[in-house]
This record gives sequence, structure tokens and C-alpha cells, in this order.
Amino acid sequence: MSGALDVVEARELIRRETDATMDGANRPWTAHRREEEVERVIAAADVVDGRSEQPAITLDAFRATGFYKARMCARIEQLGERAATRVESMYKSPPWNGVLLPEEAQGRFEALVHGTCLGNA
Amino acid sequence: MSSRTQLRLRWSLAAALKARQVALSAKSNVLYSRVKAYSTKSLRDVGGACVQLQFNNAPLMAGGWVCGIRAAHSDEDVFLPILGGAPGDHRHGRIDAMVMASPVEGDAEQVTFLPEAKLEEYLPLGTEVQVAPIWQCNDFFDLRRLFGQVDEDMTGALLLVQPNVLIVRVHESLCASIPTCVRRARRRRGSRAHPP
Repeated sequence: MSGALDVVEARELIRRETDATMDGANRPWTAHRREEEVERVIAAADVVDGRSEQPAITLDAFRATGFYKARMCARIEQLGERAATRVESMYKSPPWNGVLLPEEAQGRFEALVHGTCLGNA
Repeated sequence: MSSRTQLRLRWSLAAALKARQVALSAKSNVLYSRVKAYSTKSLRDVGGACVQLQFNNAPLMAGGWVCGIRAAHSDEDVFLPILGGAPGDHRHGRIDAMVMASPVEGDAEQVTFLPEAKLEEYLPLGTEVQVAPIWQCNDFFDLRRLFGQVDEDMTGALLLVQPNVLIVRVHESLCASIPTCVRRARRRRGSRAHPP
């Protein structure tokens, strides 16, 4: 292990990272779009000793790429969507069903932070 | 793929209110934690903000979670909804919590996460926080592990394949963008490492 990825390895990392996920436009990843991402990622690469002067990318450099940041946004936003869907479905079942009056469930922001001291912070 | 690299996380206010109620029912399973730090660099880089909570005893299973949190200075039985990432790596035993309790300007029906300054004000370092787990939404994404696997599996693979147009073009554009003094220094370093 050199601690850095070359082009072939970067391609493999991106394949693993995007397998079974959708892209930002909610479409399955295609080989062509993966290649585009590899190209962008490697554009951020540097020449690392021991890699025959081929461009290679370190973990920190990979984290700084637009690809990684976009994937991180997508992962968090998908987590938010899943969580909201789950909460809605749990809330429809006992013992929560009907705990909030309809007007409370639609709610005001003040009801969300009531009793938390958040408004005072 | 979207080229957007800034987080846009929104919940309906109704969902946040419901999460507050659902968390209340999970209070018999609360875990005790303390505020250890704030946003990770990766999250800050995409415009996000979180509070890192260190569990006192039992940690959560690694993954993405929806939970409720109750600060020690809140009223009894009052939780705020969070979206959390519980790391499975060297930070196991913590949760990075985005507190979904900030109004969205111009949209009274949505909420988003508290910004860093508000988190520092509301949950100072060392504050005791109860965490009521509601549901684990997904597995933990461990980039460091994935990166290491790929690096280990593929070492030397580049030597076995023919250089393709992509590599040549990328390498040329890379060299063209590097200042001459840096290229010279690298050539000198390379010639020392690989004497003729």
C-alpha cells in the first residue's frame, strides 16, 4: 500500500462508491459518467513518489475533490429523506397516531423548540 | 451527477414535529453522552454543521441514524430531532449529530440543521445530552477503509495495463499546470531515487 491511488485504483474506488446508488439527478450511474468522474478526480491528483511519476491521489486529496463532496451531500440528503419517510410512517402507527392534533402536526416553528431553551440560546 | 457540493438539507416542519413525538416514546432507551466537539472538516467543507457527542457507556451501532436529543437544560420529556452519523472507525463511540431545528428563511413550513455558531451556543463543550435512538437508516460509509481496500487490491495494476489516452492527457495537463521550478525539483528528486 502506498497510501495513494493511481488511475486504475481511482476508477475502482469510484465504482465501489457509486454501486447501487443513483447519481445527483436520481439516475443509475453509467460507465460513461463514471469515466467522467475518474477524469475529474485524477485532475486533482499529484505525482507521488514510488508510482513511476504517474499521477496518483491521496485520501486527503480525494476528499477535497468535487466528486467526493457531491457524494457526501447526496449521502446526507438521502439519509434525511429516508429518516423523514420513516418518521412519517412510524407516526401513523400506535402509540404515536393521533398524539398531535392535526393543527399541531402542521405546526408552528415555536412548537418544535418549545421547552428546549433553544430560543434563548 | 450533480456537481453541487454544498449541502441542502430540508425537512418539513410537520416531519420534525412528529420526530419530536416519536423520540419521546423512545426515551426508555436513551443513551447518555457529552458534547465532545463540533463539525468535522468533511462536513464543514460541504456547508454542514454538527455536534459530536461522545457516549458515556454503550455506543450506537455504526451507521446513519434518526434520533431525538435532549440537553440537560431542556424541560423534562422534550427532544429535538437529529440526523446522525455514528462512525465505525477510530471514532466509534461518537455520533455526529445535525440538529434539525433551524427555521428556513422565507419558508415557514421547512426546517434545516442548526449552524455551528448556534450549536456552540446551545450545546457548549461538555454539556450532558440524552440521545433517544429512533431508527437506523443506513450503514456507516467508511471512506478510509474503502480507500485502503482499493489501494491494497490494485497495487501495481497500472504497470500491467497499456497507458491509455486518458492517462496521457491527464498527465500532460497535470505537468502543464505545475510551475517549472516544482517540475525541476521533482525531476531532481526522481533522478536521485532512480539513478541511471
